[in-house]
Amino acid sequence: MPAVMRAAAAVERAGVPAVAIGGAGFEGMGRAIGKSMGIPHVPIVSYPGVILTDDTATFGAKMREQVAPAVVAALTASVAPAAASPPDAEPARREIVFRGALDAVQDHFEERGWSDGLPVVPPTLDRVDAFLAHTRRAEHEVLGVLAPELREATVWNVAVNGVLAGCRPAHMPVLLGIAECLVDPEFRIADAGSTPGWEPLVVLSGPAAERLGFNSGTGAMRVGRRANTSIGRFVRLYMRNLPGLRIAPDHTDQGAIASSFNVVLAENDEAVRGLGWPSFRHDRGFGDDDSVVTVQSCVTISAPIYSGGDHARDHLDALTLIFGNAIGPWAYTGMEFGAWHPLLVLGPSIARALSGHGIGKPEIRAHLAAHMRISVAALERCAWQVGSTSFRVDELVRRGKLDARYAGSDPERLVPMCPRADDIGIVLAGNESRNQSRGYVQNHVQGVPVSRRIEEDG
Amino acid sequence: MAEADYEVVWPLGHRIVGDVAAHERPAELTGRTVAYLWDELFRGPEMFAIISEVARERFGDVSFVGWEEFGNFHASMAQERRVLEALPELLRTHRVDLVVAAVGA
Repeated sequence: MPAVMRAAAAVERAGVPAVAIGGAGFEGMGRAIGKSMGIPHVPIVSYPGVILTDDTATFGAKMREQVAPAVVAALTASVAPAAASPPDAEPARREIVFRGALDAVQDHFEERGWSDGLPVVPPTLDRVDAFLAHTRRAEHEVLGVLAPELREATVWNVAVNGVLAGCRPAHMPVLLGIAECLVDPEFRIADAGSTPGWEPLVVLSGPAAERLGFNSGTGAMRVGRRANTSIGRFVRLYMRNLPGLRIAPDHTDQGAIASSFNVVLAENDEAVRGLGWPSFRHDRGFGDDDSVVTVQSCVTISAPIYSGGDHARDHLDALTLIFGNAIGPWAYTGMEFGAWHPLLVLGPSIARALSGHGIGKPEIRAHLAAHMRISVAALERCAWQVGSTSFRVDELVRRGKLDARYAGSDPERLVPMCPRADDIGIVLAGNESRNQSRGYVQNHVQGVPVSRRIEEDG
Repeated sequence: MAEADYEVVWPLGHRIVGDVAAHERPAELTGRTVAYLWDELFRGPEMFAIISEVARERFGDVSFVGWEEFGNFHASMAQERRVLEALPELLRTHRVDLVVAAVGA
């Protein structure tokens, strides 16, 4: 729905009236986006029911009897001239918006959708100022605008939401780095309310991880360590409060089942250094002395990947099987949209074992890219069922979007899940005394990895 | 012991709103040109065929411009930008009066 409303807005700005069509249940999302984009008057016609679970006869009947007449009516209906929407009253930056006891503050925030359902730390001026003391940047600095609600991300509201989430003031540079990733247009936060229900995954790589007390060892992705947990919570809170990604039907988060927030994944820098491997931040184009946050979408996580044996292949085949199982036919999204960045969280003991066999990150990536494979029939079936009803591997080959490895006539032929080995990320973390890794599946052009160096000179 | 009161600030940010004026729509489609924009999702071409049929049954002389003329706007950021930036000129070239954008879900 967000893309349809963006297209409708472009049409209306070109001086042409538009009508949008969506599935039932997406009207609220469409209206909210329409309002944000200045086109609250654009009619939205809804298909009654779920398009892809109706058989073709039912689909045709609903289209002929309900949707098509409604579209024709919307094209010819007079639309009231848009009176400029009066802007909602907005408090000044340091204005006190509420006074009350702790429970009353919780109720105030919950009623307005400003919390995530958990109790928040009251954002008092002194608490916010304590965060601002950890950056040289001006509190009024605008970092960017966050769609779909089109609100300005500022140094100030990063600090306020950091307080809410229970972060420490010293975390402020990390929070700013994350916010800068979220406002990057390439990240496409406007699409973070899409039905797959992806969640941002933050990777912190660099000396700041140890300095700020992040856990990169056992239970690296478990809530419990304040730095990992509160900053992970900050991301989801910020996504609710700035881009307005609150749960549908009245808001723009349409994650069908979705997942809760991820804690921040910190790279085990000591393990990386011990192997002489390039760090994740190095892979992302930064220096070893930098501390870098990377934010990317995560739509699902693999089962734990235990690997062992006498040969490198024993580990690589286990990684291939289980990470590949997690990706499965969802790989079609990477092929269709041309972006695909799976992330392997490799147990340090596995990295050491592979290194002992002369295998480094490039060889791991190459092996996964070559051996994680799936049939064309499975990809195309999944694509149709998700909604990409025109997805065809052959067509992408014909257009040059997929190379010769994907060509052929047998629908059961196996093709690589990852078109480009270099797009597979690898981070070392987890229990050093166990032989476990996990795969994190990214969501194509939505939430591509975006990185920012942390400015710790506050 | 009396519970402390907290004085708290607003956690949101300034909202940028730029309303686009609503354009007048025709009372009927006779002699008009309707364009389809498609995100390559949810049986769009089948939808468009039926909408065209119903519109012509009711108004007779209606022209349609297919989604292929504009490209897929549900794509990479760069592709979406390209498609949407090219829209005004293409809408003028095809003398489009109205647009149906689909299919959101």
